[in-house]
Order: sequence, then structure tokens, then C-alpha cells
Amino acid sequence: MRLDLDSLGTITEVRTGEVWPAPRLAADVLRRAALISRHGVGPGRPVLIAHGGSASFFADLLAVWHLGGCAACVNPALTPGELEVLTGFLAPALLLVGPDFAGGEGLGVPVVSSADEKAGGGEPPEAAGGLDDPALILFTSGTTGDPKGVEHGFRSLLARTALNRRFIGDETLARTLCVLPTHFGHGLIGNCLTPLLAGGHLHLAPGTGLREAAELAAAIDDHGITFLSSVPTLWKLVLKLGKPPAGGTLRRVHVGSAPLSPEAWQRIADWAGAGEVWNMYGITETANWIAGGPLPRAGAGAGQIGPMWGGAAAVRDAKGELRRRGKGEIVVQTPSLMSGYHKRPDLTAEVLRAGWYHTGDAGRIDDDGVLWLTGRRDHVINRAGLKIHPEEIDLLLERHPAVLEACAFAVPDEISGEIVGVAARLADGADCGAEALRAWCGERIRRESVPEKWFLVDKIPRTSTGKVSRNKVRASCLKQKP
Amino acid sequence: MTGARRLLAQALEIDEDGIADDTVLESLKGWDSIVHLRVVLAIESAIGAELPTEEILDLKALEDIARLLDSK
Repeated sequence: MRLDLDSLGTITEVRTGEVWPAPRLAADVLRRAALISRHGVGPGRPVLIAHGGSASFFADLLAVWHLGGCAACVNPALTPGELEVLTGFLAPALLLVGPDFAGGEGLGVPVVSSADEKAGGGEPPEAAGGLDDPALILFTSGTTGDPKGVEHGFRSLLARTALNRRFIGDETLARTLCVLPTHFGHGLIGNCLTPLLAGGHLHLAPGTGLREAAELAAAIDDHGITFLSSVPTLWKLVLKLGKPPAGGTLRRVHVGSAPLSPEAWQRIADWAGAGEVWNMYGITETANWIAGGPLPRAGAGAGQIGPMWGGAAAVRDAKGELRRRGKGEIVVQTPSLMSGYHKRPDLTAEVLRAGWYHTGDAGRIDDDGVLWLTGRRDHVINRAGLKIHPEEIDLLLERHPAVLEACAFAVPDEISGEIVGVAARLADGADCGAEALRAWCGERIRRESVPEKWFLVDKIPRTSTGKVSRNKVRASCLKQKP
Repeated sequence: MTGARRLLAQALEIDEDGIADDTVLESLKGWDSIVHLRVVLAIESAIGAELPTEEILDLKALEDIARLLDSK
């Protein structure tokens, strides 16, 4: 895919102070493309990228794209077992890792750290691939088995970044700060690729720890930041710890990936000063933001988002009819729609129907075309903006010899919005407590998915028809231990 | 240390008995910024006062929690 490497922006890694001016980035993209082309990277061929949050990551990503390959960007904190599952599922041409990566033996694919310049390159290969070739896979669940990978073509990604530029503006994108991870759409496409492809100066400071939150204002002032995006949980930390920026450079802040209360929205706006604060709606299946708006002067209502950023939205009402206004499940048509779930046409057919993507989110569209979200129709758990599918936790736990049955669900949490709770029924005489089960999970799944609230129960509540109802289990457990 | 141990056990949903006196918070499985803030809010609730930013950032060990609880 012949990307316009001459129009790329600069990347600064805030912690190390390392700066990659656009010419250095472009040159390294070509060097790495030459290096990885030896491994058969080309149109339609997946490449697993298991590092992120650095200039080197973007050089790898753009090198894969230059060759027309499809980059599957995964959480660098995946457990070895999760990485093995994804490698088996994707059969990638190679695994691209950062300098700190250890392991990878037995995966059956070449493991390459292309940041090592001694790894060489050679003559830059010709760009390959076209607009409708697969470009990106982001996994939303199933890293312990049965992976669900959202696949976007180049056309979808370029449509999204073009629309983002249109609705944000290049002046606002001129100096962007990204604190988010780069293995999900919000951080990768919205916060990083949009400014980078627009020639903006991208500042990377990944990490949502307390120290980073306390130093956010200083980073904004030191680098003259004009734009940043993040999740509501980060703002809980920032508002608790950090003083506001004083430099007056901040033009816009986006908040997304989790519900934003009107009170939090107002508090962030007070912190941001002259900068506008926008509540955004986006889904991995739509690349990233598809709707959003600034804090209304009169204050926001609960669940208020904003109008669509290109494309169209409708609601599917109780009778299954699509309506332009009213309440129901939010369905969308957007130029940045995924091509489908990688290798899973069955799952794709469930959500892509007659050209509309069925989001699973409940909401309404008012007379002004403004989108409001009122909740999710399915049971996805949202821990600080990271989504966890409870079915994945059920299946994992049911592989434990002491667990007969498990049912995971969302538990409200003051700081992260939601955390993972689970009800587990153990085998008779099982000599195993919640802590041991938690440690067992911790060895097999990434941190955010490990259940934090455990309910060891004698039986899992069922509906009158004998089915496990997640709502019923959740209500029963939280009554036991609110 | 008893009060500190109880507070930490509740915040992390772990067994009190498994928390040693010399526990370093970052070494606990599952420790992250969200749990850190949960512990901070629990301390603030217990002492009835907000902690200054530096105290929050310097909270690194069980004994720091005990010291803050004793400062009530």
C-alpha cells in the first residue's frame, strides 16, 4: 500500500525524549519493509505485532502496510498462552516484537525485533497491495481460545482518519499527546494515526498510572499539546492528583471508550480551561470515533454523545424496524466499517445485516440527530475502557479442574466504571479458594480480564427454562456482597 | 499493621493472612493504578481527610498505609 510517507508527522517519545522527525520515520519504515519482506509479508498476509506505544511500533506498522500486509496489533502484556492462541489462529508471516520481548520459542513463526538496525534492510521494496486489502486486525475477545479479531481494510482506516481530520481540524491535531495503548482503535487510530497521517507531531506517553496522571498537565505544557484523548478512568486519576495545565495550548480533549457522567464531563472541562471537551462514541468494528460532540453550554444530559461523524445512524426498535429517530439498539452505516471478523463469517453475519452494523448498544437519536447512549444490550464488561467478554472468562474457568460452572458479569466500580465479578460453582470436596483461582487466571489471561470479585456459590441461579441468566446471577451475587 | 492489612485485603479482595508486614504494594498480583486509587480512597475515608498528591504517589508499602492510618 503506497502510503504518503513524505506527509507523515514527527513522533516524540515523552519519557525518553527521543524524537523521530518525519524523514527518519519514513527512512526506517523502508528499511524495516526491506527486512520483513524476506519473510513473505505481502497483501492479505497477517503479521502479529506484539509491542506498542513507541516510535518503533509505528515504523513496524507502516512497514507492514507498505508491503500491503495486514498488521494484527496485540496487547504486549498478553500471557504466553494467549500469544500462542493468537499465533495459531492467525498463522502470521512473522511476529514483530520490541527489544524487551522474551520467549516466542515454539510458536512456529519467525520472531523479529526490527528496531535493531544491525538486522539490516536492503533495497526498499516496492509498495504492494490495494485499498481493499486487509490492513489491521484488533482482537476484542477470545485470546484464550476462539479469538474474535476485527478486520479493517486500508479503505476503512483511511476513511476514518480523513473523517477525523475533517471533524477535528489539522490545527487542533498539530501537537497531539497519546497516553493510551496502541493495540485498540481509540488509541491507535484516533489518537495516533489520525495526527500522524495528517503531518502532526505525535507525542507518546503511554501509561495510565498515578505518576503519569499527576504529570499530565506538565506534559501538556512542556510540549505545547493541542489535543489528547483518553478514558474516563484516567480523568478520575488526573482530577484527583493533577493540577490543570497553565500554558493555554490545549484546544480539545476527547473522552471515550466508557460512559462519561455529566458531572465528570463538567469537571474535565473545568480542568481543561479553554480547551473543549468532547464525549466520543466509537467501536473497534467502526475503527474508532463515529460520533461525538462538545459539552453543551447548558450542561450535558446523561448518556449524551453528539451527531455522527460521517455515515448514518438509526435505531432498531422493539419490533426490529430501523428508524432514524427514537429509542432502540444503535445501528450504523459508516465508511470506516470493518470488513468482518477475521475467519469468522458466522460472527460477522450476526452483526452486519443489510449494510448496517448492529452495535449491541442501547440508546436513542433525538430530533437534532444527536446520539444518546443508555447502556449495552449484551454483557460486555468495561474496565477502564478495556472491554472484556464475560463468556471468555466462563470458558476459561470451566477449564479449571475444580470448577464445575462459572458465570462472569460486570460489577460497578467507583474508579474503573466496572470490574469483572464471577460466580463459580466448585466440585464437591474441591480444595481451592478464590485466591488460588485468581492466581490461576492471572497466569492465563491479561490483567484487566482477571476477575476481582469472586462469589463461590453452591448453585448458579437459572431462569425458569433452566438457562443461566447472567443478569440473574449478577443480581443474586451482588445482593450477597454488594 | 492490622488495620492497614485489613484495608489492603478489602481493596484487593484478597486474604489478609497472605499479606506480610514488609509487603511492597507493586509486588502484589493485580496491583495497578485503579487499585492504588481504591486504596487511597479507603485511607481517606478512614482518616476523614484528603491525602496530598505527594503522599498518594509515595504510597509504596503496607507500612505507608499503616503510617497514614495512624496519623488520624
